[in-house]
Amino acid sequence: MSGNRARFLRRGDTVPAALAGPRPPGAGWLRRVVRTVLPGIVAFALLFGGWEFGVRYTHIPATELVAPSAIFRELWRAPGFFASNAWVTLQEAFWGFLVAFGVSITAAVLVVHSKVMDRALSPIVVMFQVTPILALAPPLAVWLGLGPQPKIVMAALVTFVPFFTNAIVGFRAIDPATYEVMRSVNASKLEIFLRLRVPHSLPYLLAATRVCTGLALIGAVVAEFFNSSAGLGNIISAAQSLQQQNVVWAAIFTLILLGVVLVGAVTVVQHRLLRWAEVDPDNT
Amino acid sequence: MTPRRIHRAVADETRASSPPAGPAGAGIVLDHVNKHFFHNGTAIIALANVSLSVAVGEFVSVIGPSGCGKSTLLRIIGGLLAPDGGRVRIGDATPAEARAAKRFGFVPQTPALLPWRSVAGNVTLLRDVGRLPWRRQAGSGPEASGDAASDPMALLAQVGLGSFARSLPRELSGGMQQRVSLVRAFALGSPILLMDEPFAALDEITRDAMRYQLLDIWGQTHKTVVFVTHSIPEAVILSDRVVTMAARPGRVASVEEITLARPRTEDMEDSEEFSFHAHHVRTALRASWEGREP
Ligand SMILES: Nc1ncnc2c1ncn2[C@@H]1O[C@H](COP(=O)(O)OP(=O)(O)O)[C@@H](O)[C@H]1O
Ligand SMILES: [Mg+2]
Repeated sequence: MSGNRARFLRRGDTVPAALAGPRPPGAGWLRRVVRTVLPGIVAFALLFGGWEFGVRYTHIPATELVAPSAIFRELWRAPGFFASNAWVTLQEAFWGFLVAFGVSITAAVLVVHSKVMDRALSPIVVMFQVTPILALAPPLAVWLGLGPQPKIVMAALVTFVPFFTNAIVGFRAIDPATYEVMRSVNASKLEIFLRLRVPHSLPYLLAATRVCTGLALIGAVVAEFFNSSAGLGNIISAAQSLQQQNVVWAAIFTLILLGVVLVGAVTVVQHRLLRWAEVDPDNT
Repeated sequence: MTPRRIHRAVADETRASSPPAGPAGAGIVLDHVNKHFFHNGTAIIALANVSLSVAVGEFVSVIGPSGCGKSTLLRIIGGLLAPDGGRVRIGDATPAEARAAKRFGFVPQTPALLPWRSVAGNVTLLRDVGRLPWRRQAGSGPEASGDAASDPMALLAQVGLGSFARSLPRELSGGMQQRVSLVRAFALGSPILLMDEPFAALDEITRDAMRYQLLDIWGQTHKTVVFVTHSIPEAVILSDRVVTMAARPGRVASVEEITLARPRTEDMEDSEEFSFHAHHVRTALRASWEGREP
């Protein structure tokens, strides 16, 4: 209910502006965009400005820290190079993400519907949770070699637990009274799953997707540090050994840009799909 | 046994004098029903030797203190819970069979709407159950689609929600949501309605109005209703009979026949006859609360 009220109040506060007199159509929209985006832009400007300023006036050697201007120059010099390597990393992260999604949803369905499966799988999940998964990168590289496989596996491993735990919570988040109503007309388990559990789990799964987008990229990049022939992680480790700090940082910036765009896309999907949800999906 | 038979006879009379009774063959009979639960290792007797019958088209309220087994009774009738002993019949079927045939419209205390479905989508939800697109179960459930009294849109309009068909539940007040829940049960077209304190979460004013909306839509079809409530006026104004239950163990303490004429109106709540019945129920309730039979 409080979500309802907040929404109403937010709508309400545009009223005085509308009453103030005729304004060109779209001006309110523009103002709202500026108001939401401007603080972020200012924060970024301050961050990079301070960084640039620090590097220039404290005489930190370029082998230790590169100025943002040098990083952007590097990106500008060879955009195709960074883009094609980003594409490699993105594909690895994507397939790992997809594998983790499939496996974790399947496991969550089993756990939600069977006590035995719950007891069998839960300890394994706890094991995954406490394992420092990124430490598995070197052995994975030994087992699976130079190709994309160890990177996909690593991306899947780091995203599995968040997906699994959110899927379980989501599938179980159904309202007992609604469940009872469904049972009163003899709804099958399949139907309760499709009509009740799946929609209820959407907010949780999309929140997990948001977190896992970044995690999958991290997994792929870390796996690329060891034994790879392409990808942003490959660039970073190669440039590091050649002491080309500006290339290292350009790759990191590419990675950040990639993450920001992907998370932004997920957020748009979240807002589209979850209009019905009372709770703001960002807060779950 | 004897009082029960008398009650049935009276109920039958009521029915005979009213316009063509609702769907046939959906009376409810409970015969010496027992049910216990285990709670922290100790057995709780939720229902002890409960015998009750509800005639076709009869409106029966069940009233009693919390924990006396009202919900358990309703769930046993609805086939959601199996009794330990005793016999339950829904017409000529077992509760499980009746449930499989979608003969129960269930209204819980909370609206229990699907937040992602519009009001119209929620109202048709129970009908849609069992009709997944890729495996239609032929001939299961009452064919309500052609039945005017179960037309979802007409029912929504009747409870004043005609213009909210496309709204999401979150855009409705609690009372409006509960009306949607009522309409959902009626729109199923099932001959029996099981309501578990459907108005308990509403404020007093909304609650008073809801009684008459319920009577209004019930009046078209005269479905068989078992209505659980904590409110004496609500029980009296709605029902043909009010069953008072006592707790520990949960049992039927007394049954009050309500002789008010139908259709019931708001004025009746000020009548002597109403006060007379309300007084009886209150006395029975107090006696059951104090742990002795009236
Ligand atoms: N699933 C259950 N497990 C254990 N005890 C239960 C369960 N359902 C009901 N009970 C117990 O049975 C008694 C009757 O419950 P209920 O039928 O819900 O009462 P009412 O609806 O009249 O308040 C209560 O003491 C309650 O604690
Ligand atoms: Mg109850």
